[in-house]
Amino acid sequence: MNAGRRHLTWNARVGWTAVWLCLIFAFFFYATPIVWLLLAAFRDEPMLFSSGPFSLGSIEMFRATLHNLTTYNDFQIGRWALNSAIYTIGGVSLSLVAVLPAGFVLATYEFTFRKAILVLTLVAMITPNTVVALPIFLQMQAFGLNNSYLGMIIATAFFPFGVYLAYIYYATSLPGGLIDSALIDGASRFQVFTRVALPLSKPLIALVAFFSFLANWSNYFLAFVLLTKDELYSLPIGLAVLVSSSGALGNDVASDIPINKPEAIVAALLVIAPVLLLFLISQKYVRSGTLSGAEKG
Amino acid sequence: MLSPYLALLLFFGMAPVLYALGLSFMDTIDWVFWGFTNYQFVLQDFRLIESITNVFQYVAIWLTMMLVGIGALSLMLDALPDRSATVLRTSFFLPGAITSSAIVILWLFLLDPAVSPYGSLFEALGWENRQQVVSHMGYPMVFSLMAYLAYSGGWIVVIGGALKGISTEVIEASRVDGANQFQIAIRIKLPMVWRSLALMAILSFANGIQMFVEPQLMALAGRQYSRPDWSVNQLAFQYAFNLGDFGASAAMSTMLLAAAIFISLCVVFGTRFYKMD
Amino acid sequence: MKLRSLMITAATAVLAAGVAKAEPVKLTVWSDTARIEPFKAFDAAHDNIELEIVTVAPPDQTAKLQLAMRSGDDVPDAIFMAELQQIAQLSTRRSNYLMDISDKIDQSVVDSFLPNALSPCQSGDGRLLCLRNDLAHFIAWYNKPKFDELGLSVPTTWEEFEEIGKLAAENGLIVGSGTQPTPVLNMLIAGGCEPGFLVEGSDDTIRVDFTSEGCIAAAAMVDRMRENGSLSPHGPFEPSFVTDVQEGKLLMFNGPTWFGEHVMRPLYKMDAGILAASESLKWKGQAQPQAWSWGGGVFGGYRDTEHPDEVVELIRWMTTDTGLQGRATTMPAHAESSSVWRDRVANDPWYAQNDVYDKMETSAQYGHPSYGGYRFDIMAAFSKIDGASNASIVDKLPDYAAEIENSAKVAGYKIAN
Repeated sequence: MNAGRRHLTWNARVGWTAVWLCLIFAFFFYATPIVWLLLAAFRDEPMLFSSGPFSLGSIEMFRATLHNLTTYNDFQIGRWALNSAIYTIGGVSLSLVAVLPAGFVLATYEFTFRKAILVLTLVAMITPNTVVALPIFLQMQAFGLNNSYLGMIIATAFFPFGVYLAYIYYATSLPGGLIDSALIDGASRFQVFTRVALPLSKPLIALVAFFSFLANWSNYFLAFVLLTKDELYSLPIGLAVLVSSSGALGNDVASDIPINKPEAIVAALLVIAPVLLLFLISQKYVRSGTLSGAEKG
Repeated sequence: MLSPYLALLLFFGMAPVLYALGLSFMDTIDWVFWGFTNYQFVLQDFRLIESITNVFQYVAIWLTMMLVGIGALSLMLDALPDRSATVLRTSFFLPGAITSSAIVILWLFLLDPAVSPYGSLFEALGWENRQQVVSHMGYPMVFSLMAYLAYSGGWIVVIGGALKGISTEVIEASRVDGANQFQIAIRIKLPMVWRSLALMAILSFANGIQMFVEPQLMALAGRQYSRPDWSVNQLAFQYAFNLGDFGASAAMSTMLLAAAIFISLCVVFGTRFYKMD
Repeated sequence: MKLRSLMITAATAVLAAGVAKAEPVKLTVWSDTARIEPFKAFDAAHDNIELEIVTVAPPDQTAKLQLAMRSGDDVPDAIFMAELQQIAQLSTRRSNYLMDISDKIDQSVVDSFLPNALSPCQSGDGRLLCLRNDLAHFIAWYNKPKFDELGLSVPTTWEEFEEIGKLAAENGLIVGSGTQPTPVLNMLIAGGCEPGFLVEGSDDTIRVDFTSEGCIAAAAMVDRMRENGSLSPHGPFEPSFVTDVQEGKLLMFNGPTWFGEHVMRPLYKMDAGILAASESLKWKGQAQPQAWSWGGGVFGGYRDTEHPDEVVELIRWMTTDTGLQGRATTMPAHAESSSVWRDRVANDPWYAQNDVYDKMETSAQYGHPSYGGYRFDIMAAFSKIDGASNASIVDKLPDYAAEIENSAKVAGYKIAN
């Protein structure tokens, strides 16, 4: 593409300029909040209120904030992070096992309840939490699964969005010819999945795993419904507890605990850090796995 | 091969919805069947019309932002060299990873001209304080922006992934035919990722009419901005979790869900979404 | 398996050996973060009771309890309620959590609280549903050096307050925030507006009245003071307001008892020797002030707990133990503890005068007897109407009334005529 740029027509030049202007505008729109958060982490509470949006605080202020955060209830936040990691790793692994074959089958084989399953999956995706909070709580209670790692992992393994991602991927990107020839060679469906589809699924796995990770890592609702023990809390629920009852948000909560807005901001950045890391890793796979030349036709 | 997923779908997808449907016809304290009483109760709520209007204004703005913004940005990113695309895509995505407790603080400051990073923009518009910013933009716009910032980045990644899935041969072929970048984007790429775009539209619409999080978060930003009955889903939440009336809540939310399902299925079957090619 | 049976054997042995000693009763309590330490102190002080403390975000508590009560398991034996609406929300037919402790708490204990402290805990039909942790009634905070500089005397009536506001406006100063809900709500109620007080003897009939002469006069005063700028258009926690205060523009502020320790000092970063306090303001025609409150938590117990005696002991101890409450975060509701707590503010040179606590204590008797929470969010009703238009408060009074009446009906209240 770079080679071609030298011969750009006037029209194309205007076009590219417009594209870059749009992108730069979008960049500022999206990046501003993050930059603000990063800078805000280095300021203390009064400074947040009274100095300009991009003014610089100091390392000492950041250190004091971090100290307040880590010493809260004997570094309880560390325990929450560990719990979150356990729930997330478990949930992501289990959801991949459930989602990938399901998406594959739904995209490549015609069978009686295919459409019904797709519709129900869609319904599950658009069901508001308000509807399912009580039923899920009672169901899990009946199986003795609330307040347990296993319960959280099983509940978060249900990832209908992943099924759609997989369904769309296999329906659009998987050459039908490959499957047919494998079937003619006498391979079973499961073998077709593991030998033909899976090797071509790197970008999909990266995408599903990442979104499943994101959903689990930031899941508030299920943790809210299923957990009533401090030592089992995940990061989002723990932070909400910490922040909402310490006057970090409302100011009308009187408390001597040194958790305020800077602490909430630094906590948020700690939560974002692993997301950023995994995002960059998964992007690598999404790009590298292009199905060049495998399109049917 | 389907069974692990089907088990989960049954347990976490269908059973809860059916249970809630049942609840909506019950008095949940004495456990007696009382027909449509719950439905009557919620339909008479004086806030219902207003919250429906609110939600539709919100959905109109939000859906437009999502479709135009995500469509355009994804196509633009796809035409860029990989490295710059990754930098931009990462920056687009990150705001969506901010946890809810921090989002409140973020918007508390973003919307206040005195300390907002967008402060000069507000000043240029003549908006002097937070209340003016909120009232000039209007709640539908404020909530749309909050939701857009949170969700658009993820979809840009999804659509970007779908665009990457298009074989290079198809694109090369059309380039040879003399199509320019813009034509390729609109005529070749866009039609090939329609499924992802349609899914985005369906989910955005369905989740839009059930919007709940944004006004709840806004309330945490200060009593002045507290609107606990702004959206329909908030009403459903209030019935159950403030008043303990799970039956009324179920009635309201099953109606909401039914509306979402109806619209989604119209789109799905109208576009032959499930057709196998 | 082997290990497990071994452990069971060991446990039985321990149990058998310990028969003489009574097994401690286990109670589960839900707490906000600030109450973790007090609960731990209770645990340490009671050999016969062992606490499991669960930290719950205050806005989530009612919702979480609704779920727990549906299944009957994992319902906490006692809770701390940081939001007073929870008292009303958790004592209805549909969510009947709170224990009636009227017969379980001695009259002497009830009498040991400061006047009006327990009014949020008393249901309209005379049940006692909780005990109060801290008081948060409005008093008049003022900037002592500025008052001296301008040669002003501290106001005792709202009429004088308005005069001082005029002077403040002329000098580029402010005397508070003119925003709904809380700062303005206090002024309206002090004047006699009735935004839904429970009718005596009933638990579900409320009276809404914004038409009394005093109420309209109060609203008109707020309008005039917003107009001349002496009441800031910014909320007390908005950056613009904070900046104004940090620049020394705050002459006076009618705020709750915790405002000095928890807002003026940490957020407004007010210098030492500035802040002083005076009693709640009254209208000239009134015999005494009617001070609304802003906050003040309570402890309540579960009506179906297996250990009612221990739960009652917990509630009593948490609110009245002088050793604990004497070093509390905010002004204790318990009289004796409160006078111990006095040292926290009385001997602090940060305040301009050492009578701040005394003003808080005398003002406690002016606390509004109808202060408490409702099943619906009364503050949100005010915010909603206020955000809807720029009309004056006087013009909005009927809208407040209509919004509150409608919300109350949905929440199952009847409206008294």
